[in-house]
Amino acid sequence: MGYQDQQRIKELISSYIDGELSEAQKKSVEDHLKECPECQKEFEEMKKLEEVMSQMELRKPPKETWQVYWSSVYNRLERSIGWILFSIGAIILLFFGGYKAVEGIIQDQTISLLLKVGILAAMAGLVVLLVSLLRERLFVRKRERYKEVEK
Amino acid sequence: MPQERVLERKLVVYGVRTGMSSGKTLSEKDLLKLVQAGDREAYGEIVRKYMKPAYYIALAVVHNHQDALDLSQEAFVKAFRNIKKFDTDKAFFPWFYRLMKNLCLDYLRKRDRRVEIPLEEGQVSSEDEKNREVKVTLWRGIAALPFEQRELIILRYFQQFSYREIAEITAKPVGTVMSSLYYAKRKLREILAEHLGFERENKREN
Repeated sequence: MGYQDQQRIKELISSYIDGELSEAQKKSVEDHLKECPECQKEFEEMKKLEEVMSQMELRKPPKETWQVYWSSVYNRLERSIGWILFSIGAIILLFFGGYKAVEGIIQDQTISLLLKVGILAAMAGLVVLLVSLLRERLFVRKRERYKEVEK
Repeated sequence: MPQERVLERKLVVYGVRTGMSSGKTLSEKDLLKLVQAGDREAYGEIVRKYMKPAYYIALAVVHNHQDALDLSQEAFVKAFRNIKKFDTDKAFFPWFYRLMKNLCLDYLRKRDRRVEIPLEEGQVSSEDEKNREVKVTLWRGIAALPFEQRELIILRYFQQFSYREIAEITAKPVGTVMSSLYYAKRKLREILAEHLGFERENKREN
């Protein structure tokens, strides 16, 4: 029996233990086991491993977990919609406020020209920084998504 | 009237929720179509149906209760937000699983590599103590497997999915699932060889 065949039969033995074979395949594995001591040993060891594995149980979470599971998901859904609305509102208010402030500064005769230029430049800078920060965030997220695909 | 039909369906959904037998008439596909139309109550049915496999798979991947809960719930939120992209002719869980898997992988990349043992602890007698040691060794072995093999072990032996179902969930051919599982188990068997008293040739020479 070549190496390939041997690997194949061992895969079949593993599937046999998992109860994943058809009747015909089961029969052929059983027949082979009777005449091959090496595979007999393989069978016994894999069987033992399967027994240990089937006894392993993941720790159960606290009882109330399942009762409140859906409502936590629901709350998260609601909260995320809340956040989106809040952000949109906040952005509108911010821009409106900024616009009004700029308008006020330009029209205000009592403020000197130099001060006006200074305030406007600072505000424009702030906007650029915010936009840049936002763009970086979005860009980094996209790149991370590609990393996942590579994996 | 379509409006009436929606309402009728919704009532059936509530029937499922309160455990009335009439609820069985609404298939998962119908439920998911309702969800795509924005019905959150219908989504509740889907979440309740899959919360346990989702949580336990996440637990087996990230090893602690709070993070498993957090990641699995976040995955359900993400699935809801993207539900319009879901093809209702296909099964929900494989699609959801891939979404959750990406969240978990992201999480694992960011986190340090500590391994907790989220296994059920039995009563402690001297015999159980030995048994526990074997299980802990095996668990560490599983945690050390490459992710592609680890997920197969988790789906097969902790969630009892069949090879065919695993093939669907992980989008791999059944033959690949079968041989990858075999290789994963072979590694685990070697890790346990000493504990379970398997004879090894090089050991006998020593």
